[in-house]
Amino acid sequence: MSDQIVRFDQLLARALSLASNKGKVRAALMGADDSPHVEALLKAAKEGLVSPILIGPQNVVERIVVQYGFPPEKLTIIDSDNHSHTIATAVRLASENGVDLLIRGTVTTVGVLNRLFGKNSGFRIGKNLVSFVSAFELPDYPRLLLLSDSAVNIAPDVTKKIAIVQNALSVARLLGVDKPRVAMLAAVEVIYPAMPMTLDGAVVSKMADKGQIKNCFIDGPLSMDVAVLPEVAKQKGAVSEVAGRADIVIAPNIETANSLYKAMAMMVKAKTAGVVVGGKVPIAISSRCDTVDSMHNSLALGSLIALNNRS
Amino acid sequence: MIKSSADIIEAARKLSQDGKRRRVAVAAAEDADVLGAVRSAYDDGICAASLYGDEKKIRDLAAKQNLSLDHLDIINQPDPHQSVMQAVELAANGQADVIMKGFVSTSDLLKGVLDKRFNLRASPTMSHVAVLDVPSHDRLLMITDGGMVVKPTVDQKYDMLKNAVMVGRALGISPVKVALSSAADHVSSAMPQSLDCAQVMKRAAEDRLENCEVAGPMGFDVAFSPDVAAHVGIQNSVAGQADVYLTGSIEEGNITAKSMIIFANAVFAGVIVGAKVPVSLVSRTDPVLGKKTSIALACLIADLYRREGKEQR
Repeated sequence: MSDQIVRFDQLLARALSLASNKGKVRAALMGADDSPHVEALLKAAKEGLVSPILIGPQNVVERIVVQYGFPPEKLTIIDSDNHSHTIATAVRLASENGVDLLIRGTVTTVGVLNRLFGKNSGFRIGKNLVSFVSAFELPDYPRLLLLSDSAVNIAPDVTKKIAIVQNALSVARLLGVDKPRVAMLAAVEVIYPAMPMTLDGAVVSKMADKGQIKNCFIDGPLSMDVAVLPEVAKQKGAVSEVAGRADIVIAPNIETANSLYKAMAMMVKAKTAGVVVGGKVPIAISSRCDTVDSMHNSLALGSLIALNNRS
Repeated sequence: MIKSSADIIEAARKLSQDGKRRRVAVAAAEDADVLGAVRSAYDDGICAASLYGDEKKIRDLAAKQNLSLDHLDIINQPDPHQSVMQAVELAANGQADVIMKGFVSTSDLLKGVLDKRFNLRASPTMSHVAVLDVPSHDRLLMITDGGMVVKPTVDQKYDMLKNAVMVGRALGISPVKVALSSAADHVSSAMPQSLDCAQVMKRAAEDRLENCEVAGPMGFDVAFSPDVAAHVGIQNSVAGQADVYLTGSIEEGNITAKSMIIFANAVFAGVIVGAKVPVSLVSRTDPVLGKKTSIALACLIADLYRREGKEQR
């Protein structure tokens, strides 16, 4: 395995080098009538990472791409004047292998997911769980920190949490982390039967101890500070492979993950990226509080996953 | 309006200068970190203190870290339960304004606080409020509840809301803007937490709850960023301007607050409210500034209770 990716610029470099070997990522923007998303996509196109496909109202999209110095006739623009049609077009492209990566633009996440999870959408692979994995680059943390799931699974039970962990592990491994360290987050770092989320964390952690989840370290429950601060882990006597140096944090429910993600983006000013994984193609999704840079990071992460999906 | 941890400390000092120095009764004071926090709070003119606990242990711990105990009252009571009861009694008699947790569990302390003979219960629900001074944000941000109520019911959320509004008022905020958390900004049967938000809002409206504005469900970004609120088209008096974020579970409150303490250098002050006397607690891992701010915050809440108590009489 090559060196571990600990920053987004390294992630982009890895994705670019893969793209130059395997070919550009065919990336479709769902709802291209939004300047920041188009800006991020065209930046990735200029870099040689993606061949862009823009789905949205033709005249609006053309006006936007011209602003960024692209002649519309040199781009693939698929005219669509409503979100439902935009999503249907993107899903069809994905199921026909006409695209490697989807990007959520102005369409809603709920709209996309409902369509993708619909019968015969061709998006799901068997019974694989689809989940959202986000990544943070933090000034005070020596590696990218992955978080799941702030967008898809609302109140996952233990079975779903295991699948959420598996999906996050696959992303961490693409970042060059051979044996990722996973923290099952809770409000405390010990088990209290009165706090059900500490039980879930303990079960998943124990399953890893027993070899039921392989090639990783999982500790849970862990509080956020014990998960990422070595000195607090030490102070609280939490000794494990994970405590103080998590690569992945798994939140107990969507609200926790969502608020955590947004606090990281808005208050911490972390660099962020986010991708829906586990389906036929990855879907890059940025939150509304994210910047163009973050959208670009999501594209790079989504591209890395898409390029690894290619045989 | 109080906008930072420095403001909180300054406001508590001002009380002292006005001759209203608040007294903290520490239960089971044989705790090195609590002694350090109380010492520095006293030295800064934030509070006076009565330390209940094992005097020998208290003196040994102080000596170990070269801490003076001058001007701090020490009442020897080696039995932790008795020291809780005596500290609470001092507050119940009106001679102390704040009860502080020392080397005793939170649940044991609260059992003492809520013992019927003291008549200190003010709300059906005791809840934890985290006040955060986040450098990247233009005002104090409160999160409730990341410390006490594990999975609040609608009733408990409504109590938590009222408790948090008290804290906001003690910080001079009027009206206190409360955002009810959800992962989506609309009420959806797929997300039970969003249904709770609708019920809490309805009750606040029916009761014509004063001194606050309540809205939700809304995401953390809508609550605190006017840009995001405008971008998604959510127009109400809370969106983008929230003071309080009322979360749906202890995990959400705890993990969100901690992320800002760890990675955004937020100063954190925590307090338990719902009794007629605020209960202050500091964690071993809090830095000195956070501990001092916690004590100062409790003093401000106590001052509000005193003023309102007088008005009622």
